[in-house]
Amino acid sequence: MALQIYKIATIEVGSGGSSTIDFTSIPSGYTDLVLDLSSRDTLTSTQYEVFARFNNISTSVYTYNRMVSDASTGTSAGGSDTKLFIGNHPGSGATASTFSNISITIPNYTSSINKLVSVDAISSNNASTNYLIFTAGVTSETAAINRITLSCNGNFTQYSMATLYGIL
Amino acid sequence: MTATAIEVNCETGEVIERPLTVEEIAQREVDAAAFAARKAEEDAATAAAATAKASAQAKLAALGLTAAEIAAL
Repeated sequence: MALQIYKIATIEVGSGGSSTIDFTSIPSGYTDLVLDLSSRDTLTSTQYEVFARFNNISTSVYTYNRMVSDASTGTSAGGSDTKLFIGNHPGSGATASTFSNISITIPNYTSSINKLVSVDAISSNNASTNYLIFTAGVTSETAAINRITLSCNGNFTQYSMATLYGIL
Repeated sequence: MTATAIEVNCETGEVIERPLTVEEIAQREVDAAAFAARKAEEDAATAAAATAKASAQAKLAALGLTAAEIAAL
């Protein structure tokens, strides 16, 4: 059977900005979920972090390993957290009108086992602080994922956009 | 700026923009504090590494190594 991709919902941040981007009541009728995020932060430095929470869980159920590379140096880190780090996005100190390009894949999101998450992310900036990030995450959540909440260090700026897709 | 959330109900397609709840604001403050603490640790580690590197380079120079030789290590 051919791969079928359905757009479930899109959120575009308006002129007032937003602290969180929240997809609720996610239908369970797909095999996998993919969430694409293009975003920028209202804070004043060049780079900030973006996070995801599933099913509104804010305890230390998120385990991750990540590789981060800028123009000259690569680093890696791992651990557990109360939210899943999914990448960086530019702040207002970065090149104007640059945004992140973050893609989260959540296979088998309705299963009754822990959820595996993979993320690839680019934080655009026409300078050396231009990050490429890969994250592997595990969420100790055995219920189906029906809510995804995105947050960042500051607020998402206008024109930040997130789209959730369902894959069959 | 009032902290807000943009929320879409994926069943109905309804999009609402609402102020964060008391619980969400509290969580946001916890997250911000954690970020500030971790950044302070990372900044301190970066500064300590730079200081150690400069010290090591100075000691190597005192032993007679040239700047090119130190850079080649």
